[in-house]
Amino acid sequence: MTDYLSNTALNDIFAILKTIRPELDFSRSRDFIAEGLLDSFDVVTLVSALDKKYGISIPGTEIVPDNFKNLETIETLLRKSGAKL
Amino acid sequence: MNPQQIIIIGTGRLPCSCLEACLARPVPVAGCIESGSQGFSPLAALCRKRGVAYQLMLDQKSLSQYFLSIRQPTLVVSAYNYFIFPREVLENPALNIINFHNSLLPRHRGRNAPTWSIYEMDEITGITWHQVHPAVDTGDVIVQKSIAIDGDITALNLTLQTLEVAAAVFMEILPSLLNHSYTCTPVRNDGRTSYHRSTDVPHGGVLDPEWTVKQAYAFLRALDYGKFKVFAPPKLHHLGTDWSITGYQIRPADPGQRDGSAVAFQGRQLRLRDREAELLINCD
Repeated sequence: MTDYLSNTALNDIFAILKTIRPELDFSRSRDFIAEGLLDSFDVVTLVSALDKKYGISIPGTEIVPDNFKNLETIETLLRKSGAKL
Repeated sequence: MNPQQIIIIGTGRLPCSCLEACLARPVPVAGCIESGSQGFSPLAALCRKRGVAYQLMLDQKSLSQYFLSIRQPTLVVSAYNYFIFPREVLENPALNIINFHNSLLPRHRGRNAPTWSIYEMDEITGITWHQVHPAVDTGDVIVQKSIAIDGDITALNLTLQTLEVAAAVFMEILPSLLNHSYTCTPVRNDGRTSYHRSTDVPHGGVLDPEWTVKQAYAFLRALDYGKFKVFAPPKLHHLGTDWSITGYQIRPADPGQRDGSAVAFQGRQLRLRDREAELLINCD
């Protein structure tokens, strides 16, 4: 997981997830949604934190499970929403 | 009558906490039901992991039929659940149904209680676990716990806070629910009860620039569920134009300008100011 997180953006996302749900181990999960690591409140909190961190506004229409399955899908969402990574 | 099984109905993380607590007890969990979902279901995942039957039942009629078919003494835990149990279900003698509500009943019955607690500038809110009666949120109280409302909290964060407290309190009362040793108290009517429908919006969703900074800030926080579309974005009418409010920020008033209240609209920003604070409201 260390190599996997060498990317700064992925590291940032990972750190935000840890602040939202410190009791959960996101590094061992391939699908945060299917494994029940994130509920809708967590995702909305994550989106607010990402908006703030990257100075973007992720559209509400993008708050769907497929965009929050893992670090890569979240990174893709960030790029799509205009984040400079 | 002590329950022979437990059924949990709800959505999000609260029913998960309830399920974990129940699984540590000798009474079996017959199943978990979700009556609404936006695709994020930690309850479904937890049920898969713990081998508990899970059903997503969106149809009110199916839900009613399911609960009417139960014959075994059952504790039904309604934990962040939007299904309203109809009278015939409540008359099923096999069911003992308890519900979580995110206010100190009888204050703010119905939907979006944290919104109304903030908008009405209550200093204290809390959670209630209560028996379910035919009239929504009127059942006898099993337990209540107070929460002091932080002056900067949003509706989203207050909702999260109530869910955390509700989970902790459920663990405390579970043993008494299972051996039926708890006592209930009728909801005290203090004359301040109110019922809010899902379509009710504080002040019709429109900010009044004549409000004090404190009231305007409370209004904005009351409608603030982050990106959840609980309400339409708040509005502002100014000089014949309708504006959507896109953001807000409060900061201490500039010491050099502590000369009373003021309202100014510059560009796309409304500034409300009093002796204590300045509220910047971004519009579009």
